[in-house]
Amino acid sequence: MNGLGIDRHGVGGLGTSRWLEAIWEPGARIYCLPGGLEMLDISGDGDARFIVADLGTGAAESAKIRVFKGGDQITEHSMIDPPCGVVGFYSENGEPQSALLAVGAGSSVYIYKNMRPHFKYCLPYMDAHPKEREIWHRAGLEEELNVLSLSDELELLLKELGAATISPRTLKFLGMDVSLRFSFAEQYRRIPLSKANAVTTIDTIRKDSWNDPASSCLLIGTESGEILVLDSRAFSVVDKLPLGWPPVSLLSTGLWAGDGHIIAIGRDGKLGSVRKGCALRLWDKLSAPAVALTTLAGDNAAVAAMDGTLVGFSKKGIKLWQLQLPGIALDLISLPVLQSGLSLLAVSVAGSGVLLYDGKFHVDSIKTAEPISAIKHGRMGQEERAMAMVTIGGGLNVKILKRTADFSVKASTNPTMNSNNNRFTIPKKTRLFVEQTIRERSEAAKIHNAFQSAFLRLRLTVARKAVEILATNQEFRPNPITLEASVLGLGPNYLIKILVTNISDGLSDTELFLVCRDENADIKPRVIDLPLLPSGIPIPVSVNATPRGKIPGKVHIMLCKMGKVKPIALTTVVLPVPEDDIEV
Amino acid sequence: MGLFDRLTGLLGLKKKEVNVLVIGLNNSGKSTVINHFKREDDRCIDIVPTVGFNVEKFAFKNVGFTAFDMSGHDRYRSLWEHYYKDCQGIIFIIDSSDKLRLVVAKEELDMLLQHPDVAGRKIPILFLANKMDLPDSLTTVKLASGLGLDRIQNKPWHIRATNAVTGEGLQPAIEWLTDQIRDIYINKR
Ligand SMILES: Nc1nc2c(ncn2[C@@H]2O[C@H](COP(=O)(O)OP(=O)(O)O)[C@@H](O)[C@H]2O)c(=O)[nH]1
Ligand SMILES: [Mg+2]
Repeated sequence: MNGLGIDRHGVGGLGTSRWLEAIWEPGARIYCLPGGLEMLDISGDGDARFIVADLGTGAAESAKIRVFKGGDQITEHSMIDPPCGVVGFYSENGEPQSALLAVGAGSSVYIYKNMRPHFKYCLPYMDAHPKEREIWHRAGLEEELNVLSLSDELELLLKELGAATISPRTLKFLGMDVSLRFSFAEQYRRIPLSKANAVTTIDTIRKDSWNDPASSCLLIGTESGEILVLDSRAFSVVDKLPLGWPPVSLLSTGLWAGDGHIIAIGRDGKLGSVRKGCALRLWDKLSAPAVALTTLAGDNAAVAAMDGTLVGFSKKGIKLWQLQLPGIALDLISLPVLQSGLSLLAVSVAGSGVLLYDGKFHVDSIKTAEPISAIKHGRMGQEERAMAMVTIGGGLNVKILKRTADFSVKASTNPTMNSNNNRFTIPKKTRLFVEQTIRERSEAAKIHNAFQSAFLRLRLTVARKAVEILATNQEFRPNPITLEASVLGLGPNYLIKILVTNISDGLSDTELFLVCRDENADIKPRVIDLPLLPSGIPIPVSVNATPRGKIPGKVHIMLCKMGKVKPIALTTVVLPVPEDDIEV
Repeated sequence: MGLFDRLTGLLGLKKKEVNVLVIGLNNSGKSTVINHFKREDDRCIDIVPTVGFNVEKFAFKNVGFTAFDMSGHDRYRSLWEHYYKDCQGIIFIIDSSDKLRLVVAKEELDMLLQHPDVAGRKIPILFLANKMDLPDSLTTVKLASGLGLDRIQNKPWHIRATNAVTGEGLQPAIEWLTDQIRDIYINKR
């Protein structure tokens, strides 16, 4: 076991590195990109395996899924198409034996149970471009096929639309030698034209539980610009979230059954979030194509882009900070530090190894001999703090974060702080000292007043900040109660039906109540006290709403707790404009 | 201490009580080992992961052992050091099939050896290379060099391959520890 990383003090005694060198297999020959690594206890026996979506050598069918125990490969599974991503999930709450592995490749998602093929989900075909369909349709109707005119028409269309929107049949036809085109077209011209969709990325979102393990829905990003949400038991599509552009990386927060939302980045750097029943909210467009997307402390998100920028976004999509990495970013993951509750970012930078950040502050560097093309942190075997790194050259390095690792040293080791302190020690009896003493004596009252007013101002600022935090502070605990509201009726008298569900495992808080608010409508009753909510049973509540005018109103429904300023949950429904009463 | 007590003590006749710390990473087999030494009638049938620690008592060759079965889960490993001061022997168990975490076991051992309550004391350490029955387990020689046991100079130590499920290797191992403890603590008095 020779170290790839440079552990300067590793030989005798306790090293100062925060990492233990567990595995270095330079000849593992893994070819893998961000999103291609997973750690999963595939059989539920408590021993987690390391799973690699290996893109292979580029030769046909050399791509495979490889399963490692520690540094030793135990099985491999050939893939027809190179995999775009691999993700582990559970179909049942609290059942480690229900672990499944999903691999996105080509136009399918392959699902393995205990590493045996379990299910294959195929994306539906996309419609070909109408003009292209028309051309092939006409060719199919012709009695005698005119290959020359078909070739010309398709050639023109290719120039007009570009290869990206043209179906594979046309591309293959045009790429053929002219002499072979006739038999090819003859063979296919009467078959309806179709265009295969492709999986671009794959991820999961928790279904309805915060416990571990919890069942998750699969999220599939498609070339046609959608996110499909797949149920974890029947593998049927439960929802489609349109983006308008193919996502390359997804990140989910919250529960699908609750207020969960999905952050997506596109190939060109578009970044936005979607949630059930809502349209995409575009956050930003990055300056360069994105490399990877991951969670930042809290429900925030961090993105590394190809030009070496690392950007932090709040969960609302507001840019929190941006920093320039010392080189090109190759992968980015979040690195929860269990012992201190910190959530760090680990970013692989070409030429600098792996850099660790606490928010925008650099806290540690891991030097590597070769650049790291993919990283994964999690549980390997019995070890919960393993970080697996695959090098550009195909080597596998696993480091384990020490139990005693401390990342809270950034202030005390900052050298500029110390030099600052020194600068203020004024030698006695300099001209400055004398002047200062004279001034202090003559202007004592003024100095005192200036100090007092600055001090008061400081206290005021602190008090203001405290109030602000108290007023806006959110519960650390995720909200375990969901609201679902629907509008019934034709108007102008509507009935709003609200379903309040406690999705936690225990009873809900006491003293909860609902408040319905709309500027332009009369709502009765406006405030509804809620009973103690038992786990998992939706409680229906109805209110009457009558819009005052002809403006479509938005009704805000807030779940509040007695004595808390900020609502715990919020949902809105839109009251449609009422139809004019029809006189009979 | 009266003359008679001293005599019986010297002869090793009188039952002595000692504290032994049983440590090792989680899943290494600590609870299984201790269970093996307990009297037949109060053995546990199935062993669940230890939270915090369990205290077990058993006797071997006229030495009464109080074994502290420390949880090896990393959340609880920081508890170990509080028991170093009052123990007369340490059993350090390693899952010899867990190659990935050999470095973690070494790190914990290094911290143990450098702890002020252990560093200067002549305290016997018994290493059990457990799960020797598993196909990919490391030999005691490989484990000893992987853990750097040759660096231990001021303490008697011993390593032995064991199978805690069948009990294979445990008898001679605990015999060694008992003899060491008798030499260092009991016969000295
Ligand atoms: N094959 C094998 N399994 C063992 C051996 N010793 C313990 N085990 C198993 O390892 C697992 C963990 O044992 P346990 O005593 O709970 O470990 P602890 O966490 O160190 O207390 C249990 O499933 C034991 O049955 C052994 O020598 N060989
Ligand atoms: Mg135990």
